[in-house]
Amino acid sequence: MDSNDVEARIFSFIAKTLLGGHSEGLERATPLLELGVVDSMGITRLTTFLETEFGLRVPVEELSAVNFASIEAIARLVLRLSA
Amino acid sequence: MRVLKDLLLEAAARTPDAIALKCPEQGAVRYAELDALANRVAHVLAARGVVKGDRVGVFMPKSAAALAVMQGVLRLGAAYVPLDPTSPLARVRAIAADCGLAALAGNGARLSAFAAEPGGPFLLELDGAGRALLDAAPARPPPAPVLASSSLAYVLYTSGSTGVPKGVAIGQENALAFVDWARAHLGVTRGDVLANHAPLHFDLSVLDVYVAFSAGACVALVPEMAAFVPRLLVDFVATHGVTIWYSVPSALGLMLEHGGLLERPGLPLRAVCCAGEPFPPRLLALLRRELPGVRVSNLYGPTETNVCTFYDAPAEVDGETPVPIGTAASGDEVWAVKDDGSRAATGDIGELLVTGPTVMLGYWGQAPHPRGAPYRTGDLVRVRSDGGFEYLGRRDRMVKLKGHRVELGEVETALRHHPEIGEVAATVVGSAMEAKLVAVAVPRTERHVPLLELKTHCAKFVPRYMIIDRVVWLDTLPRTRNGKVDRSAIASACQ
Repeated sequence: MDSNDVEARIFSFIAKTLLGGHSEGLERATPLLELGVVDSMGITRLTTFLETEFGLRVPVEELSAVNFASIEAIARLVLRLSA
Repeated sequence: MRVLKDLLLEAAARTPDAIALKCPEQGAVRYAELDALANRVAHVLAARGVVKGDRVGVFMPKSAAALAVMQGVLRLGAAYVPLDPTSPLARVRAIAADCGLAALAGNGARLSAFAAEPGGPFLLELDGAGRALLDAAPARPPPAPVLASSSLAYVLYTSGSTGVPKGVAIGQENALAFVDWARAHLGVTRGDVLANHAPLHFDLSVLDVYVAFSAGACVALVPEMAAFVPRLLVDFVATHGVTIWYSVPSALGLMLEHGGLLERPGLPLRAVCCAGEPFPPRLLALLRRELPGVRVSNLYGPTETNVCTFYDAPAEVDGETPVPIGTAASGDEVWAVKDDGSRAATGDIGELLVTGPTVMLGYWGQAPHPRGAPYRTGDLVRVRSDGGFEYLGRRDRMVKLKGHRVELGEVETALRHHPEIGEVAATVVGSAMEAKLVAVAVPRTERHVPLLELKTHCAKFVPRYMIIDRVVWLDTLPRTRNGKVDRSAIASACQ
């Protein structure tokens, strides 16, 4: 998988589903947890999205603030889990 | 006289080798280990001048270390102040100043922001370099302070309507009366595993942690990030053999309806308790139908009174009647008072009042709550024919977001600090897991500030659960004829 492509797919999910299209200023390094873009419900939606979109399974120990901190961090997680 | 710290001390003396807690990062921790770490924390804090009556902040994710700090603080006769680990530093500073923290415990990375402050609290690092200091401290108990039943045990900060968080001061007896009641009510024994779902700064966690200690049972800490991911919660319950589950109903609903809890036969789960939000009748019916052997209790109580009412669900429910909050618990007395001041009778609606051992000492920094005086909850209830109560809603502008108490005034104050926002009103759209915090704002300039920029702004002032999810721009705020902001028009503007 190409990391730019992975990031783009995560970006578009977050922009559309979690921000309801109000994504002006969203960047790959935007702190998603700190800004409450990804909240408790967002984590659930995001995990489900990652599992279906990339055909992987996110184990409980990977559900850390570091792995979900930003779009680039989530993309790194996806690449690692699908390696 | 028994005080809160005795619960862990007694369990560690009785069953030192029993598992006190489990968490994904540290695995299983025995009572003797937790006890020794609590003593080390107490010695390090005492050496830095922390004494009886002081306050110590706990600013870290839930973990064995966080629980050891809380117990170490109590062993000095001091009080702990659990802080939301996701809180912005400005808020932590405001709380530290409000209650005059003598020390602040946490992980190095977040504590470093406080390092350069003269006259600030002593910083106790639980990881990295600070760990050596703890390892070098003695594991024997520190000298036991003499405490009274009204001595401060902990302070829980909640959202304040004027924009400043307020600290609910809980005394030894306030906490113990509830813990003793809950242990007896649930019949908790050494073999039980209690799930700790709520964060430690949230009063729900008092049940999981201290009832486990008081029974010599095990408490399993649900990682904060996994708290609302259905499949992971169910995995957690299965992996740790949870026998008693306690959470906001939203989390329970996710496990039942999306996490496949009902497809896992043979789980040892025997009791489920919920609090913090209204219990959906549909959820109760599902539990009753699918897990008839599991006891279900709906608990109620603001942070100021801990749990003061309970309702044990009967075997048969219709799935539609609102789930009552029930009758008095924890040795408290509860009743409802109508607007004219008279006591509400069956069928009447009134504000719920509480008096008894669990009612707080008062708000930190304010006049103490007079002992024995009723505490007015601000919650409206209907008196049922069985003498129990049904929760109807709030009198004021406090809302619940996934169990978190949020004063809309605090959200609005944070937004008003933004130079490009004029008037603003906050409201909640949707309910339970789908609840969203929406701001209706009047721009001060030509520009409509983008949502992410406003979120970044809010994150400097309020914890994550109080950051807005959406903004709606209007030319003026709708007002009623007497000039007040029209809350119902605000709500319609957000739909």
